[in-house]
Amino acid sequence: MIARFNKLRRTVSLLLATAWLCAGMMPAVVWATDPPPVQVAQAAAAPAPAPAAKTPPPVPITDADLKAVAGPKPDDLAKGDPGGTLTGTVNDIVVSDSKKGLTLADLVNMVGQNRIAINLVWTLVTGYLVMFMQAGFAAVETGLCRAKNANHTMMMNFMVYGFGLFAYWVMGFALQQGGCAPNANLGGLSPLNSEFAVNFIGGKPWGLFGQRGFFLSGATYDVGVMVMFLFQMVFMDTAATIVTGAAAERWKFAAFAVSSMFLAAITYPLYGNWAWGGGWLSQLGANYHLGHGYCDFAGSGVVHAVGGVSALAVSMIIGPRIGKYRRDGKPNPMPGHDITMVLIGCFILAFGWFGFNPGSTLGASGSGNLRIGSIAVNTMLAGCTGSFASVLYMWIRFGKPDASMGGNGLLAGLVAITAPSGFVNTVGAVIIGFAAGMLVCLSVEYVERVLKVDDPVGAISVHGTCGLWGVLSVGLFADGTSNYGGSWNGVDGSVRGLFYGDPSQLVAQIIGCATLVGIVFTISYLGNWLIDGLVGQRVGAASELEGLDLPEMGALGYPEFQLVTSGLGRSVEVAD
Amino acid sequence: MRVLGLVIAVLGWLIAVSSVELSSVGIQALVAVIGLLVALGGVLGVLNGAHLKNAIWKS
Repeated sequence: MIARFNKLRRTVSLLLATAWLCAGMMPAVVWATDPPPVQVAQAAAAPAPAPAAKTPPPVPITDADLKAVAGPKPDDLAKGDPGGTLTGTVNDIVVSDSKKGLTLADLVNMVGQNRIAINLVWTLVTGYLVMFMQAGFAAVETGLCRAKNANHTMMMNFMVYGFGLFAYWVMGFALQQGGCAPNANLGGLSPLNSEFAVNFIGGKPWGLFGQRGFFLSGATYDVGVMVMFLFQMVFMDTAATIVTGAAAERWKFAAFAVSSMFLAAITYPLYGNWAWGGGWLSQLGANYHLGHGYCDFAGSGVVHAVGGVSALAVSMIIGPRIGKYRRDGKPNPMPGHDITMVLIGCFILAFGWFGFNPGSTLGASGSGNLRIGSIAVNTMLAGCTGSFASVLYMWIRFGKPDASMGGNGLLAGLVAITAPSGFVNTVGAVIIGFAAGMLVCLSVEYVERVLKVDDPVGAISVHGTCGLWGVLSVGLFADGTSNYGGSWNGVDGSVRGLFYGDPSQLVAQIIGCATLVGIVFTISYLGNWLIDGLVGQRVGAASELEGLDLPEMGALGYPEFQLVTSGLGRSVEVAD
Repeated sequence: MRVLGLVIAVLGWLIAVSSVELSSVGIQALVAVIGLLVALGGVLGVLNGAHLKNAIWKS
């Protein structure tokens, strides 16, 4: 009788232990101390707690206990499992030695592999969503350009993927992430273990770039590194495609190709390393006690502001489109040719952003990654309030709720929430998004009328201005509730902004912004200045007036339509 | 003028990062903001001004 009782007790404890281990919340040795789940549920529902039963002494699990667990029989499985109760049982645990059968080591290894598998799949799938954002950018930018440049604009958005990917594979990824290890979510990423650093202010090491992962060769031929590469590559490509919008309708395709590769190989990876690859910005907290160092959860700075300041550099170098400004410097409107394409593109981008921000946890299991729900909601809210604010602004100022600025407001809110999405609450997200929606309207006017920089799609304002705002907002609104494994950038505790008690975090964020404007812009400008001298950045005036589709691409975007120029360079479509 | 604008932009960054070892957080923030503004002035003021001098719409 006693033997039967002990066997029953061991079976119950084994079931509990298996459940906990699968949840990744249990140490290697498990003790049977809690009642079965059914009893817990009944106790919670009861109006008055029953007297506690005498707790049996803990009994360690052995390999022999595991052998007592029986899975479903083959005959039962052969009948099908419509309810899903027979699938995913002890039968499905991988056994390392068939002679020994299932052991505790097998069980624990399975739990570990399940955690990493969940994180790898999560990161890959969200990376695929971010990749699809290229379609959104292509639609937005092409729709906001004139019909005579549709093929050219679409092709820039299409080919930036290929040009950027190649350059990033050759060297960009290595410079950015070559020294980023360790990363517990993706299995350690141990091969990415070499960061080049110099001693700078106060004799502290300043990481400048990584040194592992060129061509993804050698030890970086690793499952975790491959996932990291895919995810980081689609982020880089987002930054690269921002520039094509600002320089649209007058950018020589060959120059675009070289410039995009320069951004993918040099500009983006350097800042990405400083912020995400273990470089000096991320260490401002550990080295100088500035909060948790520069914090940019998903890339308001790394992706969007890098793209935005690069777009500003290229736009300055190639100058405005013919007809954009009158002799007295006043701007002429040059509306795009397809607002429906623009708004559909914005929706695609908003959808992809659910990969951008929640995916930046680089996992869904362990290390505080269950915050992905909060991150997704923040993303949703900020995009919503961004579009609301910009439409409201345009409605009050110009009497109509401008559609293209509504779309840009949505993107502005999404850009701004990208850095703080993992650190703020929903109220913070709403404020950040709303401010971005207002800011993008003001910035578009400032860039067009004061700076007289021609930006056909508003990329400098959406990604540059609102990217900087997003970086700063971390230093204001981070609420100290996030806990990604107990620390961030090597500093224990949660990230807090000025409004939640840590003003030093704001200092780190301001330094990040100064780096974007002072260093990243300068690198981008110098690179593109050089390209301008070598191959010329701008198309000839005749090509520009004709439209770039035929001179640059050899085919019209809309061959079935006759394009009639209307006013100053504007074209309208007339069906044949 | 273009080079001057870029030099001022980098100078702004140097001012911002020089704040890291200052004692007070308030002073750190002030110096960092000054650095950011100097960098912006170099890019949007001096460098862009150089581009506007020879802007295509003036010819």
